[in-house]
Amino acid sequence: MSFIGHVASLGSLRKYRVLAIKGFIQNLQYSASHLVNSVASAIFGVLEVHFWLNVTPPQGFADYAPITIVHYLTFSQCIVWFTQFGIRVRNRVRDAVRSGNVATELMRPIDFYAYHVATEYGSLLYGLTFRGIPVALMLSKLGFYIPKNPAVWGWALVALLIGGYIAAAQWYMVGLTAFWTTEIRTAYWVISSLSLGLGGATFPLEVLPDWLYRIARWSPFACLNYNPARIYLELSCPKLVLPGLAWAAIVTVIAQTLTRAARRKLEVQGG
Amino acid sequence: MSQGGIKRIIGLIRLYGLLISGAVRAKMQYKFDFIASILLETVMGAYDYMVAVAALWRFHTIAGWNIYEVGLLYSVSKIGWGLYRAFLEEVDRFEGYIIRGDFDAILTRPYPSLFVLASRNFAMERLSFVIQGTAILVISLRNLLGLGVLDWSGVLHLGLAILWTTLITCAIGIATSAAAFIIVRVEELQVFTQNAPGTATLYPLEIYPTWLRNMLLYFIPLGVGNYIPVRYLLGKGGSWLNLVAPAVTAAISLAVAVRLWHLGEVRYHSTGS
Amino acid sequence: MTTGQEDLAVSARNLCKAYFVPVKKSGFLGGLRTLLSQEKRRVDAVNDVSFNIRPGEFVGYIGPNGAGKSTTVKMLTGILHPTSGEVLVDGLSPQKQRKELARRIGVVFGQRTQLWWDLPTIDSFDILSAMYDVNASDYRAFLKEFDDLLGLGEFLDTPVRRLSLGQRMRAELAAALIHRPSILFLDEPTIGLDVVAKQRMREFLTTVNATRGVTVLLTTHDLKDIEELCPRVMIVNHGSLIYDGTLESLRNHAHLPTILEVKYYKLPEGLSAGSFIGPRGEGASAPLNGTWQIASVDPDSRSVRVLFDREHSPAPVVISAMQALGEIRDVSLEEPAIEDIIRRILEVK
Repeated sequence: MSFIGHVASLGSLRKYRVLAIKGFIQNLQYSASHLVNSVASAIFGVLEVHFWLNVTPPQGFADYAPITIVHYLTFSQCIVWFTQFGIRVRNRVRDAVRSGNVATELMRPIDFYAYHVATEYGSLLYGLTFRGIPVALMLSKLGFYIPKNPAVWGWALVALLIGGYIAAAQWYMVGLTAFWTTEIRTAYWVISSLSLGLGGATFPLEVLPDWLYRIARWSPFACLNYNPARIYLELSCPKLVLPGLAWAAIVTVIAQTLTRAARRKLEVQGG
Repeated sequence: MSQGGIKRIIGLIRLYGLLISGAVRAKMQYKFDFIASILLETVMGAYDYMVAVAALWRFHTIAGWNIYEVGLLYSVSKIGWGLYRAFLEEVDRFEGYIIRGDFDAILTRPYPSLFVLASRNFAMERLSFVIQGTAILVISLRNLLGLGVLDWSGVLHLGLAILWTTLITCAIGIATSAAAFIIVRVEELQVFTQNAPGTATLYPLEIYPTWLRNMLLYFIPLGVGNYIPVRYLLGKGGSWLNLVAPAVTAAISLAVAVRLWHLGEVRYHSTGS
Repeated sequence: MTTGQEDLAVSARNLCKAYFVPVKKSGFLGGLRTLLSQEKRRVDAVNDVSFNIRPGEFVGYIGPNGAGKSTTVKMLTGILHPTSGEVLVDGLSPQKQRKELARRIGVVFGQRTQLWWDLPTIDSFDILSAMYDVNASDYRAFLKEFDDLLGLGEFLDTPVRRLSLGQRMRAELAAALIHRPSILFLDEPTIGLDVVAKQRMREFLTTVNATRGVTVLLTTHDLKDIEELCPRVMIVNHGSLIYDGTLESLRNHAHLPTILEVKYYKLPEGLSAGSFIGPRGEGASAPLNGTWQIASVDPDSRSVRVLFDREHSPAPVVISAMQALGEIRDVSLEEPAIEDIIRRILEVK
């Protein structure tokens, strides 16, 4: 089935919107512990900022002045809950596989992949607002960049939303590995290290050795953090959303293929 | 010490050995999980160091410390953390005991609860941190000994620094888990008292603002374990007192931690009624 | 001093345990508002409980879920610290001398294990014998004795996680007795066991109590345990001790009527269900204090059921009074079920 055909077959998108909203609201009741998490994120932000301020030369590097590095890091720390910690979807898919509930879930008149990704997306959006904004406020003393041009806000948001989608799909696939291995931790560690390191969550990718930088900036991981940050800081033009769009399409196809393989495995082995 | 006291301690060590060998035998029934996780964590756990390597590869020094010097800070801190987790894994996971109500059974034993808790597990899988820290320590020492920055007496002092750092890390772990007696869930608190300070002390403390540095030296004194002695050993300032401070800090922080634990134990609310 | 508390196995004086739980807020940002608000609710889990247990007694401690049974046991074993009041167990304070006391008591929590889950059962005993400094010859004797009593030998080499619940509970009991404690605290030791396993457990407990003189405090929901094991019963509800006495007087205490069924050759005239008879039958409203009540009259089987109160009317008196009404073919007596007695006591308080 072609990608477009598949999108069409998802049927009414309304139910996925409902799922996303539910995923968002579910998080509201844990607000107290999330506030604590935000303080922790802010503290790690402080550590990162001081590390990089001390390590970079006074003239900065690449197209980053020292203050730009601070802006890059504080922005990244605000979106870290959006792109890096897709804990729920991976555990939910894993638990469904282990408990055998996955058989019923796959039977539902709803796309299994879209169901999980939509729920996760809502919860990631929660992370972006209710964790990201407090972190931004806490880190504003170190320096938080505010673009003057509203179009920049818009493009950065688009890049971020694409990044969030890729992240949700990526964590979904990590959970899906439970069909083939008993321990999804290996897959999690690999993906999470790659998306931290190659995604530029804790430093601008230009820090990396040149060959690695070139790989990283065209990898899907760069769409999670590096690309949105570059757009937001007005270091790159909005065209940088394009790799994200391409990767979102590719990741969707891969995730759907994996889901089909999982379904076949379930049908052959009977769960 | 009286003969009875010595006998008692020997008895305790024997019992600890017996309990740990039981725990290890139990764990060996899941050998594959164990080996897989130790390998994985050894490699993946080095992420922070890789970032530092990438940064210092490009920019050479941070606050005047090169990658090998930072490596000493890093390895002392990581080995201390690994040993803490290996010996006191059940203390680190203590909130689970409170949530499940398993602490009741611990208190029915004729020994201090911390001893009973610690003797339930020796988490060999956490030795991944020790392996990784040791590898980085060896790389750093080869360079620093070769350049004559450090001599063999310095290596001995580094060994002691690892011991004091381990004890300070244990003290912080015990004090944090003691909070579970009152607030039950301490996973988030651990981020503040263990993970964040652990990350912060991987690098020289002079890169941080004063309030943060003071915090890591006087409140959660992880920095006293590695930064203070390593700084002196590398000739970056301080006096022989820098080598004594960690021992004193370890003693004080352990005493405070055990006191907090006892205070918590009195307030223990068992689950169910 | 021979009358002091030192001679008692357990003495509790005005024992109280109160918890303060935060009042949960619901709705928008509920978690955060709960955290910030200082509003606390006081819960009295145990409220002014006093009792003594003499060495060698077998006491049942019962009450509904959440009544305060476990909380009491946990204060007696040094797990919890009382809010106020005093406890001595075997002459020691469970809180100040917890570790010393632990060597003199055995504890079994029916829903938890104190054994090493992944190891063969014998390893748990090895470890416990070292933990309680049991010397080698005593330990051998223990294994022999408990193999005879509980059949431990069958599963000593099986890992604990593969034992059946009945086997596991036998192992738990043995583990609690390895150091020859003088007092045994059992929290629901028969929960989830099948009838045969329960019976075996009861027989074992009777033996341990009788031959070793071990004092036993047992909490349970199975009232058959109480009937078969405990001459003395304490009932707790809402944190307060509402009954402490023998099982026998508990029956009287509840004021639940005994039922006498009388079968006649020919049904006497003039008996109707609900009416009161007996020496003080006139104007009575309940089958108490020497009044009896006709519960039912069945013309088909020619039988009459009479409710009466044993404390005031001995059964022979009632039977002979019924005999006066007509010739009796057969009689049977039904004691009130213990469940009903306890339900009654809990309702009254």
